[in-house]
Amino acid sequence: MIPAAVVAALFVLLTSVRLADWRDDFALFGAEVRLSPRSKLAPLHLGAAYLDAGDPAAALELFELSLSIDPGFDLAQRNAARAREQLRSLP
Amino acid sequence: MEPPVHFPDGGAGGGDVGRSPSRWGWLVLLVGIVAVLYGCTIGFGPINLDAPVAIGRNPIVQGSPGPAEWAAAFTYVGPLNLWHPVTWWSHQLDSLCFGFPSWGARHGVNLLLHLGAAALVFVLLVDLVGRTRPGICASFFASLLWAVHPQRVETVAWLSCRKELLATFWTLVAVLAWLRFRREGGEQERGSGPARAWVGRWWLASTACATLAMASHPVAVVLPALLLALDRYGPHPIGGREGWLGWLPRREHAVVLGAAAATTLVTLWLHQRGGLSGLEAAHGPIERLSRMLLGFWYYGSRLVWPWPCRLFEIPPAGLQPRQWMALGGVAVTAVAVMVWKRAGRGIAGVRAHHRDGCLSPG
Repeated sequence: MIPAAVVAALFVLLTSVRLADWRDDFALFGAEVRLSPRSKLAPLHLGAAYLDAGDPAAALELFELSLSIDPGFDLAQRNAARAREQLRSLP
Repeated sequence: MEPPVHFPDGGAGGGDVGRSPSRWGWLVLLVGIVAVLYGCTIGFGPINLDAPVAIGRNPIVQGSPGPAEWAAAFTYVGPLNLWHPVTWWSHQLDSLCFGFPSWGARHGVNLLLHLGAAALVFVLLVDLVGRTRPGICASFFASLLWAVHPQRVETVAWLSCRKELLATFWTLVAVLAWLRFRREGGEQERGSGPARAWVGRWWLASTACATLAMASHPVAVVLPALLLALDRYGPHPIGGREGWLGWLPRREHAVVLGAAAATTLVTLWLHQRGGLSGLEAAHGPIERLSRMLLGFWYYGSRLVWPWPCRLFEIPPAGLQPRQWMALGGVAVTAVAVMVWKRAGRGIAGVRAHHRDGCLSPG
């Protein structure tokens, strides 16, 4: 039973680390951008979090990262257009 | 294929030590560890991925749902085009009990469902391997590993994974009730139990919970296959049929099979109409099949080597859909063959091992 206890303790440690990623959008999608650099969805969702938080400049950078992975990704194109629109309307 | 192993004691009584207090101690310890580990999720908010369409902007969950919304849940599929009325009812119940949106309370319900499932896994494993001290100890560690596995975080901390939690919970209750139904049947056959009709309270409970599981998430349509496997390899095997005939369903499987068929047809029909917001329509059948097989391979490998956890898994660079399919197909076939060859020996072997006291609790 000792090996099972050791694996369980390791799982508890890894799970507590992973749980910290799930506390909000920035932590989760920020981790995804780091862990899956070829994912077009990770920068899209992190960009959306920045857009909702009122930071269109950071959001646009991430939407462009998503488009650099898949230039035809329509969700990233639409969100990038929204971010540019918000940047233009900033004083 | 090895013949199913029959236990002369009729099942869970192999090496049975009765209602050992230590069983409840292990159960409390298991629930306590899982509660402390996942307790932090109650302070989390919603993740902007599916949660808005499942809860935040869902017209039948928002506010204080009335009879019209409760009725609408039976046919509502949402933007994901997924039929799971029990999950909608669960979200609606949250809105009624805690108000809207009450994210913390919703996370609390997810946690309670996971705690319940962890406890049920423990009880189920004890039923399968026997109530000996080593059996209880092994069941504790197996259920603990299941409950605290890093891949489980996604299911517990993601509010739109309520459907998976509910399906798991009801599936486990259905399986436990099925084992009790078979145990009563075995006692009746041996003349040690009261005579009953073949449909008893446990059959009714199992069938009802299986239907709830399928109406929580269509993935639970695999339940009839699970029940058939339990009838062949479980602690109360059904005799009377030799070879592959033993796998054929009996009349007591009819309702669960019917529910599974209906759920499958509804889900396929909805997906034909544009499941997953039309994302599926953008891919051909070969690519969709390859993604499904790759998904099996991905989750199987994550089960064994769970780190680092990722939400979005990207297939290896340079692989074409047909190559993914071949990769996933090989993995799924290998696992299926292994299960086919080992299933009987697995459960039966563990039970025999524990009954003989070969496994030290230390």
